[in-house]
Amino acid sequence: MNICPVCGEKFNDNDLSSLSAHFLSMASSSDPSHVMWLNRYISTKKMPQDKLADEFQRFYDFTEGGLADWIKKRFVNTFFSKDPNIFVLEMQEPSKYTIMGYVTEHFHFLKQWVRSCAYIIARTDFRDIQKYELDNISEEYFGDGSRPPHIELLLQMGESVGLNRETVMDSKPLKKTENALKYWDHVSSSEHWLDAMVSMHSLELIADKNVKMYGANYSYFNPKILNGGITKETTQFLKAGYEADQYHSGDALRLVESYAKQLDMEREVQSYFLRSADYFYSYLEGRSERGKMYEKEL
Amino acid sequence: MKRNYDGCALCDATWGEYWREVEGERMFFCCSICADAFENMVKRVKKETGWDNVDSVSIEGNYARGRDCVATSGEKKIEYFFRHEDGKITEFRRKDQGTSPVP
Ligand SMILES: [Zn+2]
Ligand SMILES: [Zn+2]
Repeated sequence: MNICPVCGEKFNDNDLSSLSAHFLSMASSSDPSHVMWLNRYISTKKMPQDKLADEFQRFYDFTEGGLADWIKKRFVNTFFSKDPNIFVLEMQEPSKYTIMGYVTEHFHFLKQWVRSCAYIIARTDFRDIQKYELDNISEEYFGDGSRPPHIELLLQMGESVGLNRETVMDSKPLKKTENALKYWDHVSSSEHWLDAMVSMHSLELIADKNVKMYGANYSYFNPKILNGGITKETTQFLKAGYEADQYHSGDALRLVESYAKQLDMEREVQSYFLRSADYFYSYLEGRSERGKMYEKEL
Repeated sequence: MKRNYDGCALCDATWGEYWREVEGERMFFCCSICADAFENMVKRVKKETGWDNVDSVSIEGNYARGRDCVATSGEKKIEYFFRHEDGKITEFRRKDQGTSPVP
């Protein structure tokens, strides 16, 4: 099984011929999101279906480095290429408004994050998966007793640039964020736990130190921020993510790779990853949009 | 209006089959979002310059990078950068005063 990375339509084959036929039909009716996806990931030049099916085969081929490696490379290509996501660009020299936008939208993201991890625990019997998710929830949301959780560090980062936590907690997520959260809630609660797992934990690659090994032209933020950011709380928050998420996503993707093979779900996992990355792209634009709103207001 | 692309007037893609009249001319676009972005961009150029019509537009770039452009009207020229999201202009920056003659 695989799904369309744009609209989620399900196809019961693994050879990508139904997917290419679907894309061709959506493109011929000028559906903006399918056309944009083709432009961005396959080609801007129209081609016949057999050629498009070949292109999809090439795009989805992970025989070289394995599934986890394929996910990392694709992620890097989408977010850290020489034309990176706008929020990644802003994070190279973040203003206090960039940070405010980050804090506000990410607060809502983390609320969904903990739910998604909990759904995964509830929907699998594999103890290594449950333990992995449990540790992750502690780190992100509740803390392990000795260190505050990421969500607290996030709120402190906001306060350090003049954004009080009540404003953040009372805010409503922007449309782009809300759409993405709705999607992740749906995947986590209704699709296979492994689809949920790849959808969520692949996103932690955003803060992975090792993206440069996969051809990234940018990293999440300019590392010089760690030696004195806008505020010490900014440094603290980014450092925590920088040090934690890289082993997180590495461990998670190793689990994903091994269970996808065992459960014969590799193609399915690839397609769920792609769809989630697309929502994440737009969610990051939401952080940038929120930052610009603060800049106008304040 | 003279353009540098043979495909979609905004992004040069040849997917899709979407036509829209812009500045009195029927133009090909890959989708309605590109058409919105192109139309809003031309409107913005006219607003910035006060021109009655735009004779040519040349575009370089993509969605993520944003687009560097040169537009002309008669002897007048403007160089600018813009980004769009969902066809709405989210950033527009003039690079010149729009009064220098076409070289
Ligand atoms: Zn689709
Ligand atoms: Zn286009």
